[in-house]
Amino acid sequence: MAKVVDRRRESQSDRYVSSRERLLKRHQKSVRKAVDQYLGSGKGVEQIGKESVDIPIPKEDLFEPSIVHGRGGINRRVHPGNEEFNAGDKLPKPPGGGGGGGSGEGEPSDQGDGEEGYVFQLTGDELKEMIFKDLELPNLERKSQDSDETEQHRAGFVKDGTPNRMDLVRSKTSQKMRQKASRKPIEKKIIKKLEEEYDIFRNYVADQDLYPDLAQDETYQAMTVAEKLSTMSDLVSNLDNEYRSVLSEDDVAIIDRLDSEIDALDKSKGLIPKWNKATDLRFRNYDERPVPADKAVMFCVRDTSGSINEEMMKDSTIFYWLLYHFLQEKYGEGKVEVVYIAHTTTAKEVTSDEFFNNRESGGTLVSPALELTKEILEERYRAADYNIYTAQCSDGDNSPNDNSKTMSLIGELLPQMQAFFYAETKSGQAWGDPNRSDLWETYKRIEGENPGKFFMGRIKQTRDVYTVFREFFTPANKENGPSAGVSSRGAQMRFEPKI
Amino acid sequence: MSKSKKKEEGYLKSIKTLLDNYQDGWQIFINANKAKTWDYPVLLKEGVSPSADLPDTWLGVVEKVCGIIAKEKYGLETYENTIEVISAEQMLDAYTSVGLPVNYEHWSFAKKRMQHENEYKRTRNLAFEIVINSDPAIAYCMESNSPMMQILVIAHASFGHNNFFRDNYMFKEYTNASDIIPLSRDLRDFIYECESRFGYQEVEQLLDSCHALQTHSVSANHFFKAKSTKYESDTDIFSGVNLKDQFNRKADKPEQPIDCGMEQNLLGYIADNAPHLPEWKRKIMRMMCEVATYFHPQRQTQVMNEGWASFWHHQIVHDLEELKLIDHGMMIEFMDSHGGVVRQPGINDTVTVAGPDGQPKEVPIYNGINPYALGFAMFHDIKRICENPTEEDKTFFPYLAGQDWLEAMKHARDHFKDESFIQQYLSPKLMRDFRFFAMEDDSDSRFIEILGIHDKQGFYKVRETLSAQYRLDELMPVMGVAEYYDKTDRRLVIQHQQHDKKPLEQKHISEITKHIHRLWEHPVIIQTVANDEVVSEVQCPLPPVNEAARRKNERALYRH
Repeated sequence: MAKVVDRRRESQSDRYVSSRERLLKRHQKSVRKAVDQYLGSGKGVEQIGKESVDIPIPKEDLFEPSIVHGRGGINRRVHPGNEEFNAGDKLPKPPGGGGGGGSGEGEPSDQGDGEEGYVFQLTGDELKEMIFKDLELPNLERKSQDSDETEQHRAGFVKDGTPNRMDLVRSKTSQKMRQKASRKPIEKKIIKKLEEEYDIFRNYVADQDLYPDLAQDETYQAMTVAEKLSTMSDLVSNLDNEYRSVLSEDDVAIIDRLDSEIDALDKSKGLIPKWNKATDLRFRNYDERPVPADKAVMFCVRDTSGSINEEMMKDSTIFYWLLYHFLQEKYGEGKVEVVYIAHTTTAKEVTSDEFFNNRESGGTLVSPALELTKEILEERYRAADYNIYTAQCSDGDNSPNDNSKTMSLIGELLPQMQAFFYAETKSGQAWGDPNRSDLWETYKRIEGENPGKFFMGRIKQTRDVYTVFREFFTPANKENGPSAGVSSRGAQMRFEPKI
Repeated sequence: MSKSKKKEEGYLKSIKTLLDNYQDGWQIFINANKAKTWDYPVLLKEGVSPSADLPDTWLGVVEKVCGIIAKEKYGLETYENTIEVISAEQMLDAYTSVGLPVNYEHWSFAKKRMQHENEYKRTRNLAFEIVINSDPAIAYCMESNSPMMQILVIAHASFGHNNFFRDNYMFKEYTNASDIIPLSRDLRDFIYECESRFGYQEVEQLLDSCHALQTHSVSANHFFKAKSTKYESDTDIFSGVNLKDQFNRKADKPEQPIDCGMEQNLLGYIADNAPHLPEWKRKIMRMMCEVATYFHPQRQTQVMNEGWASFWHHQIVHDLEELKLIDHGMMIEFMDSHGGVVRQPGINDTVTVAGPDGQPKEVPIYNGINPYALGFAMFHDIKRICENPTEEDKTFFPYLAGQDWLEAMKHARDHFKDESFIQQYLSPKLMRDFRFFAMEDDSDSRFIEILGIHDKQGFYKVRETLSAQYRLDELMPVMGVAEYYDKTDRRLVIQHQQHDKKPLEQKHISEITKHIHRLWEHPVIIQTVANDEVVSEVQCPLPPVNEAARRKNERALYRH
C-alpha cells in the first residue's frame, strides 16, 4: 500500500549547509569584496552579526561550463499562434540577433537567466566569520585568575554512581575478571581430581611413554590452568574409554567417586553469579576543577574635540565595533569588558551612549586620556588577570608640547598591555594636511620601537576602516593575502600546462 | 462491450467497498474540500477494524481511489507510491538536488539553491509536485496545495508519471527504478569517504569536471559496467624515469592512432583510458556516468511524459466527477488549474499588467512551446481520432481510426520518444488548432524565412521541424572521442559533429577542454567537424610556440 509521509516538520533546511560553506570558501574573494563594500558603506554597523546581508556575487564567478551550442548556424523553430505569416515570407532580422540566433560572432550568450549576478544571503554569523577570518590577535595569552568557574574533568572509574554514568565496557571487563577469578580455584580442584584419575589409569597402561608421568612432564607443568584442564579432561576421557573395563573393582569405586566429585565441582562453577552488582559495575568519575578564565578589557579612547567631524565619528565607530566584536570572537561572548574614555583637553570616563554620540568643542590634549587609562587600569584591571587592549581614534591633533608626555605615558602603559591600536581618522573635510599630524609623527617612533605591539593606521575614507583593521591583525607571515590554497579566481580554474 | 461494462462494475465495486469503511463514505473528498484541508481526518465507521488495506490518511484514500480507477478501469500499472508532503523550503531543496532524496555536497548545489530561492522570492511560484523515477516512486506534494490540487497532483504524478516511467521504452532501456536510490546513496557515501581521505578540495575539483562533462556521459550500453583497467604510474618503478616525459617524444613516422569509434560517453571513456588517474577518481567518474544515464530519458520524453500525466489527471478527475465523488465547485477549481497547466500562448500573445507608472501595459507572454500543452493535446487527439475520425484523419491515421483508444495510447506510450512521437502522431488538425508555423534563421542569411504554416502544403514541413526540435543533436552538440595517439604524445582527439553549422559555445568549450586535460594529463584537442573536414579546434594546453620561428623572430628583433 502507498505510504504517506508528512515531512514538513523535518528540518531539511540545513541540507545544503556544507555545500554553502564550500561555495563561500570557493568564492572567498568575491564574498570578501562584497563584505568590504558592505562595511565600507558604513551602514547599519550595529546590525552586523545580527541581520543577514545580501551579497551580490558576479555571475562570472559562479560559471560552470557545459557542452552547449553557441549562437549561429541554422536554427529552425516551430512556434504556435501564427497570425500574419505565409510560407516563403522573408523577414528582416531584428537587431541584436533576437529570435533564436544572431550573427554568431558577438558576445557569448550565457545560458539561462539574464540577470547580472547572484544575490547570496549571508547570515549574521557567516558575515562575522568572513570579517574576522584569517585574522589573529597579537599576544593572546591565557591569563588565569581566581574564579568561581569550574569545569568537569574525567577522573577514572569508581564502583558507585548513578546509572547514567555506568560504563558498560568497564563493567563487562570487571565482570569477566571476577568470573575468571572465582572459577580458578574450582578448576584447580578439578584438575587435581583428574590427575588422581590419570594416575590410577596409568597403572594399567602398557606403553608408559604415551602417558608420561605428569609430575615429571615439563610441558604439562608449564601449562596454564585452562590448558591443563582441557588436556587433562581429554586424556582422562580417552583412558576411561579404553581401560575402564580392565580396572580392578577398588579402582572403579575410586574413579566413580572422583567423577561424581568433579561433576559437583563443575556444577558449582555454573553457580557463580553472572552479575555481581556490588563488585562488577563501574561508573565514570568526574571531578570539578577551577578553569582559568580568559578575560579581556578594551579601552576605547576617543578624541571628541571640535576638529572631529561626522565622518570621522562614523569611521571610528566602525573601527571600535570591529575591534570589540573581534575581541569577543577570540575571548568569547561576555568576556570582554569595555572602558570608554572621551577626551578634549580633559578626559573622562563615559557610557557607551555618550561615547558614540556626543561631540564637544575645544582643543585637544592626548596625555590626560592616557593618564586616566593608567589610573583605571591600576585601580580595576590587574595585568595578571586581564588581557588589556587600547584603541585610540583621533584626527591626530595634539598640542605640540604634550607629545613628549604622551610618549612617556605610552611607554609606561605598553608593557602592561597586549596591544595598542591607533587609528587616525582623516575623513571628510579634515583640517590640515591629511598625510601629516603631530600625533602620527610621535607615534611613528613608538611603533618602530614596539613592533607587534603598537599598531597604527590612517583612515581617509570609510572603506579604509576595514583595510586598516585587517592590516593590524594579519599575521606577518600571511601578509601576502588571504589564506593560501583556496582558488582566488573563483570558478575559473587554475591550470598549469604540463609540457 | 459487455466485457468493458463488467470491468467498469469491478472498479466501481472496489471503490464502494473501500469507502463504505469510512464515516464520510462517498462524501470523503467533498467534505475535505469543505473543510479546506487535505489533512482531513479519515475515521473508520464503528465496527470496522483498521487494516493495512484501509488508508489512515486522506491522501492515502485519494491515492487508493485514483489507483483503483487507474489500474482496474484503465489497466495502468505503476510502481508502489510514496507520497511525501513537503514545505516550500523543502521543495527548493528538492529542486536543487534534481529530486534525488540523497545527494552529495558540492558548491554548485548551493548556487542552484540560491538561484531557485531568488527566483522563488521574485515570482512566489513553485511546482505543485515533483516525482522521482524510483521504486517505490516518491511524489513530493506541496503543503500549500488545496484538497482538489492534491487529488490532481496525485493522479498526475503517482499514476500518470509513475506509469510512464514504468512502461516507456526509453526508461526501460536506460534506467532501473529500484537502483537509483541505492546508487545515489553509494555515490554520496563514496564521495564522503574520498573527501575524508584526500581532502574535499581534491574531490571538488574532480566533481567540477564530472559536472562539466555529465551531459555527454550517457553510457551507451545503458547499465554501466565498470571495466577492469590497466593504467600506469607516473614514474617507472625501476629507473625512476618520468613516463609522462617519455611520451612527449616525436614519432619517427606518422603515428597510427587508436580509433575510438566516436565513443559518446566522454567521462566513461576517460575513466577507462586516462593514463594516470587513481582508481577512486575513476570510480566516482563511472558512478557519475550512471547518474547521467539515469536522467537521459527524461530529456527526450518531456512532451510525452507531461502529456501522458496531464491526460490521466484530466481523465481520472473527470471520472471522479462522474461518480459524484467531487462536486461542481471542486471541478471548477480543477478546470482552472488544469487550464493553467496546459495553456499555450501564441507567439504574439500579450497580457495586460499595471506598468510602473500605474498605466496598463502590454507584455508578451510567449515562452516557447509548453510541453504540457503539446503532450496533452496530442494524447487527446489520439483518443479523438480513434473514436471520431474525420475523413482527413482516416487518410493520415488509418491505423488509429476506429481502434480502441486505450490500446492505441498505450502503444504510443510504450514505443516512442518526443521526436518520433511527434513525427508519428501530430495531426493536421492539431497543427491548425495550434496555428503552428516553422521558421528558419540562418546566420549567413540576412532574413528569417518562413518555411511553412498551418496549411496543407506546410503540414509536412511543420511536423518535420517540430519533431527535429526535440532531437538530441538539436538539444545539444554531438561529441565523440575520435582518436587516441597512445604511442607518442598521448593526445586525445574529441570531435564535434557539426549539425546545421551550429558552433560550439566558445567560452564554455575552452573551459571544457581544460577540464578534460586535467583528467587526461596529456594534450586534448576538441575539433569541430563538418562534411569530414575540421573547421575549427580548441586545445589544451595551448600548442607550444614553434621554437625555430621564435628564435628567428628574436633575431629579427635584435637586428633592429
